[in-house]
Amino acid sequence: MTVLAVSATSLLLTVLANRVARIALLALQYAAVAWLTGLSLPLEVAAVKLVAGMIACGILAVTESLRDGSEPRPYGRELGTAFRFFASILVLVAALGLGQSNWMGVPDISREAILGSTVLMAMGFLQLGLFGSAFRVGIGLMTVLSGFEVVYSLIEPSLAVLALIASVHIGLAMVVSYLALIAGTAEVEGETG
Amino acid sequence: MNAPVLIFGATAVLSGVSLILRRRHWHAFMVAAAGSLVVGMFALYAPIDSPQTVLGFPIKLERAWQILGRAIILTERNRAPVAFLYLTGALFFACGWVARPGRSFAPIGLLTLGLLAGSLTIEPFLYAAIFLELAAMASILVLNPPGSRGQPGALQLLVLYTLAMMGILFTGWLLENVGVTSVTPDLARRVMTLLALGFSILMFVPPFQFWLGSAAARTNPYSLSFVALILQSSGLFFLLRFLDSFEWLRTEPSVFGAASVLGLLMVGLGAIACVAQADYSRMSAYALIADFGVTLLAVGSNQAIAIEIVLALASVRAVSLAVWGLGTAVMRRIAGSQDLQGAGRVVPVAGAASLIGVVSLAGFPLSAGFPARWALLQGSLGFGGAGALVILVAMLSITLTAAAWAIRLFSPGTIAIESGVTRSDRAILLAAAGISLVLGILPQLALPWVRPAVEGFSNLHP
Repeated sequence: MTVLAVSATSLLLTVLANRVARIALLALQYAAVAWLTGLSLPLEVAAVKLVAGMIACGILAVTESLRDGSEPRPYGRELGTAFRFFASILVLVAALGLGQSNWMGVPDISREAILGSTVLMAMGFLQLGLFGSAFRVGIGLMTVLSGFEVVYSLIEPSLAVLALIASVHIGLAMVVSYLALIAGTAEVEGETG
Repeated sequence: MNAPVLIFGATAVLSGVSLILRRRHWHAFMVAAAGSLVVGMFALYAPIDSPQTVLGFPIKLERAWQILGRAIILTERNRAPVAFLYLTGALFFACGWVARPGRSFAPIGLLTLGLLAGSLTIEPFLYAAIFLELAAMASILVLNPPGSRGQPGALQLLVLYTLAMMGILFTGWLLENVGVTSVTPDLARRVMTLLALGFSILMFVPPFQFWLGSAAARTNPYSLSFVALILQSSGLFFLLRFLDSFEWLRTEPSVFGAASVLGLLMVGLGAIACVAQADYSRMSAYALIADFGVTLLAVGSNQAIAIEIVLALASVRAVSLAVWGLGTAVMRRIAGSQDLQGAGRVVPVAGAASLIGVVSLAGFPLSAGFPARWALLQGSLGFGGAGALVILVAMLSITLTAAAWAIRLFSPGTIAIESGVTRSDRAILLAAAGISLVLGILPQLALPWVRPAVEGFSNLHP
């Protein structure tokens, strides 16, 4: 069920163009990641991830509200919705196949966690490859990092690491927001990635 | 009272004060420079774990700060690297007001130094990867000050450092908990692959150097010098710490072999790319890649003397980059664009300083970068004649490229009016260029820092 949720959110994050919808989907994805983490760790630990994710989404939402509303100029590699959809399906199928086995070699990990982690990392990498805008690259990085975190918080459940990785999520949201704001769209939107 | 709290507390306070003073450029930079200098000297020389009396009060500085179940410790191993970061910061802040790198340079630069110092002092040291990621995030704000236009290099840096962080964290877990040794070849291969990826990013090994070229074209050269220097140096200290801590890695010949090959690749490709660039800043960025390659080549030689060479190179690089960044930033400012033709003619001291920086990065004789290269070549540290030839050819080709650029910089151009270069600007440029030249003639001036730094890596330098 949770794997289905992360698959759906990461797929829609890749396909959808609306920024507000993407922020809402990212928040849902963070909730699913917290649930996946909660399968093998105490609820309080999972709650920290959820809170950090929600703060990151809040920062992105505030940035979105500060922007003038104009969509960035299509520029460079602006791939169509159909292409993004089919690419996402392909990568998702591959990730679901790879996630059937414990390919990371992590002991005592549930099948659901490894599957969810693989899907998130694969879809995050796809987003990094497909997009060049600060906003989309940031969401891609957060997706990859969430996938990594599902596994890493299991093997290293220390409070310090938890806090540091949570700060990375929040930092990513802040930096991406800053870049999106100073660029005023086109400069960063088009030439990266 | 403990030393890490003092260091990080002072960094936070200095960052806050320079943020408040950000509209008064000179004051902000001077506060940051003086503060960094004091923190750097404190990290290097403060008496730790021994009772002292200050103004009649007995105090004892402790070396560890426990936080959330983990420790931040100032040990003999990391004191010199932490001092290096802050002293480099002091140099860059002291000259920064001439280069005008933006209001965020001093406060965010200090914050970045604090995060990198955190990466050097955190225990278990594998968590350094997270601090490096946070420092990369902060340095994006240095590269893109408020009012600037966004540029792709910043995002590329963010993506690369996030990948490096994940790779190194996972490798750390494998090394510490799964028990990788030379008799577990599958795991060893996995560790080596992840480590190679992570450290290639941190050491700017091609193709992971591309953000530097992207950023060079649009970022203030001084900001770029600062960011590239402190990030790469922290990555280098992290690599040395990794090698010093894991015996399995130290005794694995392929680790050092890979470092040598990658180092040679960097020297060769850096020199070729440097010659091919049509933009002055990009040309210098690739000269820097070649310089980093020499460092990696020395690490790969796995000789005791190599660590001294590596650390000496790191210290002279700080001066070379500051001089280059300063001169180039001033030339760009008076040119008002990236086309610097004639800029050296208008402000000769800026053109000369910038070229001295590039020639020093190339390692040409009598420049600051030469003595370490000479020691490396004389020691014939296991990379053979081909390696020496690549270093010599790179040195020559980068110097000739710099000479070709000198002709362009000092030829008549469209820049007619010298604007905004004051007498104090010239004095700073002259002083920075002078320091770089003196280091070329008297390389032993870098030794007071190099010696304690070398002693910190006791397993690599028995």
